This record gives sequence, C-alpha cells and structure tokens, in this order.
Amino acid sequence: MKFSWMFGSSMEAHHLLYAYVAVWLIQGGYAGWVFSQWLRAGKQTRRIPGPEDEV
Amino acid sequence: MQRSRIFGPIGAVWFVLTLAAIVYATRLGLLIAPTEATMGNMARILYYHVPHSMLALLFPYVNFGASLFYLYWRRRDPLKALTADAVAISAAEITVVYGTICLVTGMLWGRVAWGIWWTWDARLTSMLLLWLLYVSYLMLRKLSSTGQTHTLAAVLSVFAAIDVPIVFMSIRWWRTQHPAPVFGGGPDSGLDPSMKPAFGWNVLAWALWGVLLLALRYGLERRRQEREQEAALQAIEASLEMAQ
Repeated sequence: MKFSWMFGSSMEAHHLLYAYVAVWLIQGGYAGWVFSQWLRAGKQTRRIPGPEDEV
Repeated sequence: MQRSRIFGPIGAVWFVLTLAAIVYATRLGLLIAPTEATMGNMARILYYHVPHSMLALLFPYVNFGASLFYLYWRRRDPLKALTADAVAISAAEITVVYGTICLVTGMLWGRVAWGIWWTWDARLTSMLLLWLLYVSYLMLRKLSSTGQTHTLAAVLSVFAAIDVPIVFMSIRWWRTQHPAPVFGGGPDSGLDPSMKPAFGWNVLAWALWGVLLLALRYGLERRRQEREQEAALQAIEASLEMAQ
C-alpha cells in the first residue's frame, strides 16, 4: 500500500497518524456540536410577532 | 420566514466543494508531496499544522472587528450590535478550534523532531497565551450573568487581538526553538516548489471550512438571540396581562 508507512510502528508514524486523526476529530466534533445545537434551536424557535402581524 | 434548513443552495454547494477540497488537500499532503529531506514523513504534519496556525491568527481579527462594531453600535443601533456580537462569538469559537489544532499538531511534531512535547519558546508561549485569551473570552460569555457581559467580552477581545501580531512576529523577534519563518524569513527561507500544491490546497481547504463553520455558527447564534428576544417578549406580555 502506498501509504503503509503511515501505519508503521515507529513514533514518527504514530504521531503523523494521531495528528491527522486529531484534526478530523476536533473539526468534526465542533461541526457536529454546531449541527446538533442548530437542530435543537430549530425545534425551540418560534417566529417573533412583528408590526406586520397587527391587524 | 423562519429558517429551518441548515444549508441554503449556496451553503450546500460550499459544503460539497469544501469537503472535496479537504479530501484532495489531504491526499496531496499524505501521498503526493515528496518526503522532506531532513524531517522525513513527519513534515507531512506541517501541511495541517501551518494552515491551521495561519487561520488561528486570522479569525481573531474577525472577532476583533466585530467586537469594535459591537462597542460602536451597542447604544446607537442595538439590532446591528446583536449581529456584530453573533459574528464575534462565532469567530472566537473558531479561533479556539484552530488554535487547539495548532497546539496539538505542533506538540505531536515537536515530540518527534525535538524529543520534547513542549518548551517555553516565544512562539509556543505566545500562541498558548492567545488560545487561553480566547478560551477565557468564551468562558466569560458562558459564565457571567451581568447585563454587561457582551460589552466586557468585546473589550477583552480588543486586548486579546494585541497578542496576534506578537505571535506572528515572535519567530522573527526572538530566535528560539521554533523553526524560523518559511515565508518572508530571509534569503534562505521558502518552500520547495514540489511542496507548494499540498500546502496551498490545505490553506484553501481549511479556510473554506473555517468560513463555512463561521457562517453556521453565526446562524445558530442569531437563532439563540431570537429565542432570547422571544422569551423577553413573553415576559413582557405576561407582566402586561397581570397588570390588567
């Protein structure tokens, strides 16, 4: 495999793998949190009545 | 009309293009870019570390600009001030996300390249300070219950932004452990042409991702503000009903 060196047993290989996985976890975790909050906020939001609602 | 979908058409296209750019940039960094002569494959961490570090120094200025607008508008135009405040908190969170990645990937690289996880070098220390400043900004916003929280946070953000040029210049002003600047660092600095595509694509991809996160987080904060306004409106309505 072309990128088999990434899954080797050396510290270099481990840290390279950890770094890439850490980036995806942190970025994905934050994006997932924003998405979950968006879904929660969507359920709770009701449109605020404005002047256009007055009859 | 109530916004119910997380993405509009432009957001959906942006999301797909960003994911494609991240996959392509990662492929370039891991598989296509040549192995660096002295650091070996460890240098591939830098295709993620450097773009995230650069962006961790750009998003604070979004927070800084939005905080200045907030301070200017808070009495003149409170609705515009709320918009600026939503931008400010979104940019602060994204600064913490990118700053965390900068510190984590830097430590993983340093453990192999230097044999140590951490050193109190000027660049590392000033970057850690920047990260702590934005974490304290977020904690202030989360934990403070005074009516002046947003104003205090905006003032803190102005002071936090002062650290950004110090972080940027630290490897130029003080020559300590951190590698010298690759760009604009003198006659011997620069990136090998064979590494430029991987580096450039990673900067572009993570910048697109950061802007997408900023837009999503801004939309979320605006929803929260609407919810707070709604709660305040209901409280006023209830008090009026009681008075009648």
